[in-house]
Amino acid sequence: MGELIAFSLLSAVIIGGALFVVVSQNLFRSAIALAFAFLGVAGVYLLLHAEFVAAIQVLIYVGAITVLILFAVMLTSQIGSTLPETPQSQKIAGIFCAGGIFLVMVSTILTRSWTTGPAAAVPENALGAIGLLLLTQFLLPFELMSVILLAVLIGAVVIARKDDRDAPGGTSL
Amino acid sequence: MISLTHYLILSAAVFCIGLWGILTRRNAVSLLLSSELILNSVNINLVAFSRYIPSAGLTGQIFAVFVIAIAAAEAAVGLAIVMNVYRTIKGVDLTKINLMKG
Repeated sequence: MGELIAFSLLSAVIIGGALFVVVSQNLFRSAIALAFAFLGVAGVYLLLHAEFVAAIQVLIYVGAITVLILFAVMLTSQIGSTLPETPQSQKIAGIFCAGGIFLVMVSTILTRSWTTGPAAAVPENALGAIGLLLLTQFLLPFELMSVILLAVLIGAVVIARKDDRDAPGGTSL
Repeated sequence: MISLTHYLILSAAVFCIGLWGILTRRNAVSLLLSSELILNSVNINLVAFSRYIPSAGLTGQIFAVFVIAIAAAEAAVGLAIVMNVYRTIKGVDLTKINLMKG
């Protein structure tokens, strides 16, 4: 019963936040609503006994990505107020597409018989088990992830830096 | 009480809301916000499967952690590109970003 209440509250937060993100014309408010949706998703992870993923979600999504998005919103400050809105026909076509896909997915979910046993017993030391798996079974993706992050670090800096080749000082690159 | 289908329907709803955002918004940063919603919906799916299907174990959670990392990387590069575009055309209207159009 308590789980049902928690799930309903969290779903309301997530879906309400998501709707606000895609509807609002104020970009700043969209970013803040997205942060609320992320917090709701972290709550859903806690409901699913995935504490590690919940902590990572709060740390990275709410802590880093939201701040990054807010930086970008401030630096490309159009704030959506001067942009003309998308035409109504495009919005309705979008609702048909997204709504159609939603109906297909829901009908598949409800008619298929999911082969679920009883909910798996939560391991005692889930964090230790995750750490062990990351270093044994998932070692290659783990190491590749560090390479990806290095590439992204360099790439983002190179793409976003000011191009001052015309300046007298110039850059060395 | 709460079965797998609840989480799957929640994930499908968030996915479709993010999809509608990508289809309709004209601001480049809004596009990235909507894509983050889609990635979050996928993560909910993964963690729900990891919990309710006993043979999955912790694989779903680890997959979700990798998806979070990739989403962070994608957001960083995407926003770097948006900033570069903003400097070039002094705006972020998606309908104006058509320099490669034949």
